[in-house]
Amino acid sequence: MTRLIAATSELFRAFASDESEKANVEAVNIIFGFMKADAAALYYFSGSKEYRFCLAGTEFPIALTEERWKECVRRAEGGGGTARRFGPWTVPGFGEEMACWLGAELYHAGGGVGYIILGRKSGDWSDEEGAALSNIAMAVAPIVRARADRERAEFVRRQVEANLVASDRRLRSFIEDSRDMIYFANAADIVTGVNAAGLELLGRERHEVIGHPFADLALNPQDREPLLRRVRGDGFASDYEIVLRRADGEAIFCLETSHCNRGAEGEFLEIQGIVKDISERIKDEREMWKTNLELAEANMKLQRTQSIMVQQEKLASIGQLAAGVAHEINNPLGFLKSNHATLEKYVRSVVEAWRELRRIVPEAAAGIEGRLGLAEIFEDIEPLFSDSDDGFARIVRIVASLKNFSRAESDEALAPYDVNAGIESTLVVAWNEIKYVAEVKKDFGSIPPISARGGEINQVILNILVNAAQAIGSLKREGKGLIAISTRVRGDRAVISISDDGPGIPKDIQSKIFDPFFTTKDPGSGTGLGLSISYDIVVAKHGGSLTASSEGVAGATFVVELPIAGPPEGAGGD
Amino acid sequence: MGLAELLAAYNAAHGPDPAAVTRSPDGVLVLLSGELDMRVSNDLAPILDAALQDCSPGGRLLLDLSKVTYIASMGVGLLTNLMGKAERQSIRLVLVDIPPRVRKIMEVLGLMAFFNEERREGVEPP
Repeated sequence: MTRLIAATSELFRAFASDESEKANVEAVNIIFGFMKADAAALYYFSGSKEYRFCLAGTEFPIALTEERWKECVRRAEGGGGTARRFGPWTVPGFGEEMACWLGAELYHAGGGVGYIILGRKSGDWSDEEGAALSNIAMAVAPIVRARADRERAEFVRRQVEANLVASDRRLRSFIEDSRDMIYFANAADIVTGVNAAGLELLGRERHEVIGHPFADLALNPQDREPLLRRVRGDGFASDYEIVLRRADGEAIFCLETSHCNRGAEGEFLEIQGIVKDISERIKDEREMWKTNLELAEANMKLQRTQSIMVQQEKLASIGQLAAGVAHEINNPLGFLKSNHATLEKYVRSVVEAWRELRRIVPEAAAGIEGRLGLAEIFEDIEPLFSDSDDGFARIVRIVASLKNFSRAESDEALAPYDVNAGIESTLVVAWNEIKYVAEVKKDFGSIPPISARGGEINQVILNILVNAAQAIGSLKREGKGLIAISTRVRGDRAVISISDDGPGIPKDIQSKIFDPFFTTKDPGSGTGLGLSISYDIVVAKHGGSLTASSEGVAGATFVVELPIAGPPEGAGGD
Repeated sequence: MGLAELLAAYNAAHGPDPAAVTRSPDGVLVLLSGELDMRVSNDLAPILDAALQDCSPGGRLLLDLSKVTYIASMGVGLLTNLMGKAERQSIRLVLVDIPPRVRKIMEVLGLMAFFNEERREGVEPP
């Protein structure tokens, strides 16, 4: 009994002096010596969830596979704390066969088990020895178990810690190695964290981002507001487009998906967001948009050019027609005028002959004169010839004007052009439009011949004159309006000013009146091309200027300025 | 569906930021407001197409952007597509009172030069 107490005390000392598993080896060595065994072993399920085996005479616990463990402890199982005899048996994998074995269960509950087995080469174990092992098992069982439990708790803690570290590392790696920008911002939208991809995207250092409002990173800081509104309201914002600004000023098109992180009380803690660079996609889209716009613009220009060409062709055709008619009229007019002059001479001779005849035979002549009313006829002859002469002169002038006006062939070359004569001839052509609505007041200065395509300039003047007449006519007033035309030389330019006292041009359309297809006339009345073509002729083809102004209610004034020396080098039109 | 029905449906879905269309001798004026994001741009496209059909060749379609507070790439795409369609129909598309934040995006994309622009006096950007 005394020996048992001493052995137990020694066991307690061994456990107390060493917190490691080596104490179990020391314990089995003590039991081995005390029980005078030829072999002794302690089996237990360790705190680190491993099957362990401590053999007397060794220094360290040995790990066992589950199969080997089962093979080893099968003989010692059962019986609770009471020692059991068995044998002959060999510790599987270790040592020699022993004739007699004594085994006791240390504990068997709560997922942990432990056994002590002792072997003897010869002879049996006595009941006293069995009782002694039972006592020893009872004494050390709580210690071995408590140490295993403590070790298990420690093991679990270490495992949780390792898991936490691994999880944290995984999360950090996910954030840091992400190709997209990941950021955190507090409730006031101040950036509190950003990954490497974010810094690279922004081309900024960490301190230039963290601690700054996220809005400062956007090209339009206000564009952050809709996202914040959604995150605060719905808790998230998906695929929100925002343009960020790199440190070098470059704009980066991004797609952001964010959500808010709320505290236990539902309070807004932070925004967590992923920002994806979609600049390449936007670049491709932009190229597509640009190409479409360029195509549409080219298409529109083509349409306009075609319309303008058609209109110019029409005008040129009208000009050619007028020239043809003038030419056709010119020949009969020539012989009509010549015949008329001959006829006048003949009639004067006949009248002279009649007057001589009346002197010779007065009575007979008076009778004939009275019967035929010759006195009135002779009286009318002079004004008739005079009126006819005027008529012929007017026809000659109109024909000449038509011929002068109609030089609008598209390949017309630059030639000296008399501005005042051009206006006169154009007035003749436009007269039918003007004569019932307006008087024309001319104030022509002395203008040297300018180098121009006269037919084209006449078209411009015709256009302005007809517009002026139509504008005056639109007022439906009593009496006629006024078209005032003046010409002057200003520097190296000839300046033609044509004013009317029509309704004028409203201020909001003054900038548009030279645009192709812009018209204020009723549908079908105007093509909207007249002033556009005029502008092209004066500005593009002749290097001049064409402006319109309208002050108050005083009608409109168009001013055409043309370089006297002709279009500068490089002016279009040919 | 006619323009009026399209507008009514749009405004029912986007109540706080409605669209409106008015006609004047100056052209057809469409007032846009709010955020031109993907959803709004998709919903606006048929309205703008219908407004374009209301314009006669040589006429003007004016988009009043003064109340637009945000534009996404889909919104820019909407405007560029409309511009292309307008030019093909000889209609002049004019953007009226472009807010600076919208202009900045269009400028960054290099598209501003393609658009006609007008500014009314006394209109402050949002």
